[in-house]
Amino acid sequence: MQNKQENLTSNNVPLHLDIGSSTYLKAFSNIGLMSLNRINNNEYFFPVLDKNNNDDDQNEDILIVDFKQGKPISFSIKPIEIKKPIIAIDTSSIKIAENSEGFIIAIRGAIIQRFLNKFSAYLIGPFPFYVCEENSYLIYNRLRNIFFGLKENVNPPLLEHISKRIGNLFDRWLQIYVAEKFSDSILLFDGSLTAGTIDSPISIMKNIIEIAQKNNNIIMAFSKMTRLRIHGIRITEIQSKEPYPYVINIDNCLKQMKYKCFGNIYVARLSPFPFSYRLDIAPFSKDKHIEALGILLNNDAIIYGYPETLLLAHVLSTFNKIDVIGFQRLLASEFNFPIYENEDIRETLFQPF
Amino acid sequence: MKILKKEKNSIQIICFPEDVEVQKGDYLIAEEGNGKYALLQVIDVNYVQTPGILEDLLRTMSLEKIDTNFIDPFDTNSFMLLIKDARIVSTKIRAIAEGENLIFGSSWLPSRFKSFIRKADINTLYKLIKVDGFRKINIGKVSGQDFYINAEAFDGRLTIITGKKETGKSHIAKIIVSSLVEYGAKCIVFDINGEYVNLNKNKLGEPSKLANKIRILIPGENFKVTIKDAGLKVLLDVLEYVYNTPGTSCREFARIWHTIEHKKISLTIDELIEFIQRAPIHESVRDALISRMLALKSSRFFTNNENEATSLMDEINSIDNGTLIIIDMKSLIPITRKIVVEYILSKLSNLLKDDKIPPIFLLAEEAHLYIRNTYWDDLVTRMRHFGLFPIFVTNQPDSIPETIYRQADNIFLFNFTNENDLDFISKASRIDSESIKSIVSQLPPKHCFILGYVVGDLPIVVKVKDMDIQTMGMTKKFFKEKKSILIQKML
Repeated sequence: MQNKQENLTSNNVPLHLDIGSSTYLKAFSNIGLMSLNRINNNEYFFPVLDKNNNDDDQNEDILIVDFKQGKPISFSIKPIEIKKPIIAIDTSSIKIAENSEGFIIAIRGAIIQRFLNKFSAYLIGPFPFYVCEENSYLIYNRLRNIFFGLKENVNPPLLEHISKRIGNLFDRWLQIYVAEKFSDSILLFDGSLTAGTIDSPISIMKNIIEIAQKNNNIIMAFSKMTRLRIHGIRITEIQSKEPYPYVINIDNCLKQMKYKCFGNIYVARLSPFPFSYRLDIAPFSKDKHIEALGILLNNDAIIYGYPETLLLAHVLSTFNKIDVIGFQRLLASEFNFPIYENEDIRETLFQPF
Repeated sequence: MKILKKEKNSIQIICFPEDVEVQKGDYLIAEEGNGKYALLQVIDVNYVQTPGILEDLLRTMSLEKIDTNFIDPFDTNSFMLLIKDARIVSTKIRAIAEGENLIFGSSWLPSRFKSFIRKADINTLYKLIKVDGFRKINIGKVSGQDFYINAEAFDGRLTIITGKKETGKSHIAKIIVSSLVEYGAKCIVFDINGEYVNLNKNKLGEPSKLANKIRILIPGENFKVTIKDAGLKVLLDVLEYVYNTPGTSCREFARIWHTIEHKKISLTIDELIEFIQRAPIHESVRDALISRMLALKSSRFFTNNENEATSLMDEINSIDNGTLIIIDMKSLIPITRKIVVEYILSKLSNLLKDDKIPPIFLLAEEAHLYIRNTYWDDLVTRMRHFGLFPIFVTNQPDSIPETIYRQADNIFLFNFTNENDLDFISKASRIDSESIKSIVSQLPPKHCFILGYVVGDLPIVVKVKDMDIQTMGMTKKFFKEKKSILIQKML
């Protein structure tokens, strides 16, 4: 793990991070570069029409929750006039081009700080990777090793999911980074605090929570989508009689856990709009969570029930069409990978008729 | 640069800002390497509507409010900026060229994928602009390089120079006439503002190259004519068109004139007045004719003294190798101006018809102020055949009839911003209205869009050069003191 640098306090606006000179980031970048070097210059690439992979992690949700275990508890939230920095992290990955063997993917992250209504941002990347069946094992395990010091090798995900998985590793590393660099702050993550999956080993999640606790940070992870259901009803559909903003704690309903979840699980409805989110909060006790939510309401704008700073991190890390075209041009001019329009075989054969 | 699409005569080209720096009026060549190429003129440059550009701009704007640090090891941002800044260059196909031959109206199209697009240099354009002649006139610069037109392109041709005020019309007119005279041509200038009279001096006040070739004629002072020299036709035209004399009175005047001619009496204006007074005509006709003759006399353009009279023919023929006759009409009242012009045009027509003078160029500024409507067609058709080649200069394009524009061989267009002027010009010009409106409305001062024969029908935007001659075209100003002098005075 990186050496602890001088912690940034509430007064650190604008944001000054040494992430650009981080050896971890350099190693991440180098692995990407090396993966590109294995491509022969006479290999042709075709553009991929891909969506950004920055959706919430679905597969790792706890599978079953049940009222029989206990009842959900609602908490009304009131803004608390304490000034605290809000730090949001999000990453995005996308397939840029493909050849017969694999994909060129790009990964980008964003760290946003909001304090006293002033924003600072770090946009990290994009980092290109070439992944194919031959190198995915090596790349995936190298990244796990570099970022998290994990020695045991695991099977890499399917090539179809590799961009999302590498993005997740990068996301977790950024989370560790901000947990270390900031103190007395609210850290907003996209997704959940579920651990035990391939990209989120328990040791890593535990590490994030411990560092956050040490620096008196509180982590709130927002999931826009969740598979958690109570009697077949998605938990985000549960409503409280409390006036909004409110959260509903569902920890008592948890029956069976496939994966471990760090922190407490809530359903959060923070605005009058009928949008609720799964919200995992850690470390510390529920009381402190409710207080932290009050501080969040005081320090961040809530857009459709979602914190604006996290929204901004999502927007800035996401690849749009221009980013993709620009990246394809970079590959063509700097790495000499020609990208050709993929011919539609049906169109080619039948269009004149 | 790649061809994006073609619609009618327009081709849109997509390019990055770094590919080539193009301006409106520049020429591009789209070639495939087989010697055949399309000559495309840039009429507009726009941004590409890239997919997601709105989202991206909003993101960029939101970033401007945020203290943002980019950690971008592969410098992808610069590539993305290029994409975002990609341009659409709208062009018009002016011609297809094979080697050095231009083919107008060809339907050949360069390949979208294989063609190579580059900016046409001035030498390529020269090879394509095939205008007879070898007498070069340096008119200014195209893409930073000197641009020449041929003096012969004005010979036997009708030229129109138009643009809004203070854009450089008179300036280019002076370059053209002074060059024509240097090449030995005979030119007459109707100088309505007295701005050509100093062409005989350079900027230092010393004699210019034209000093020995210029004759300045001031009507009523060193330019007077006799009634006899003017002749019946001129006088009848003056009576009819300048003084609006009724037909009956004109007929009586012609009868009196013939009587005098028959009696072989020498004609002076005083004698003519005396004769009308004694002539057996109706009193009202007599009054009408006498009053008009007195007005003619008071113009001081007509003299009784033959020795005092100027022979236009002698003036034109007096200098062998190029003559510039400037008719300084600055101090004349409008009616006298019209009389002088009636006399000169009629006289020139007769002299040219009788081969007493060589073909001559006529530069007329704001000609609508002194040339009657019925003269326009005469000037551009009949008189052109005799050897009178007009160059009209105006800041009111609609003051010249549309039919004249259609017959114009060369048009020099300066900036117009007024929609009505642009509409008129685009209707009357020889190229499409879209090109005219797009290019002319954005021309900077002293930049000229040249159309027609003089540029081999390849419209070209030229930055007009300065002249080492006192052009005197600048407007006198009340607040002319320099700021530094004013500050000194205040101190």
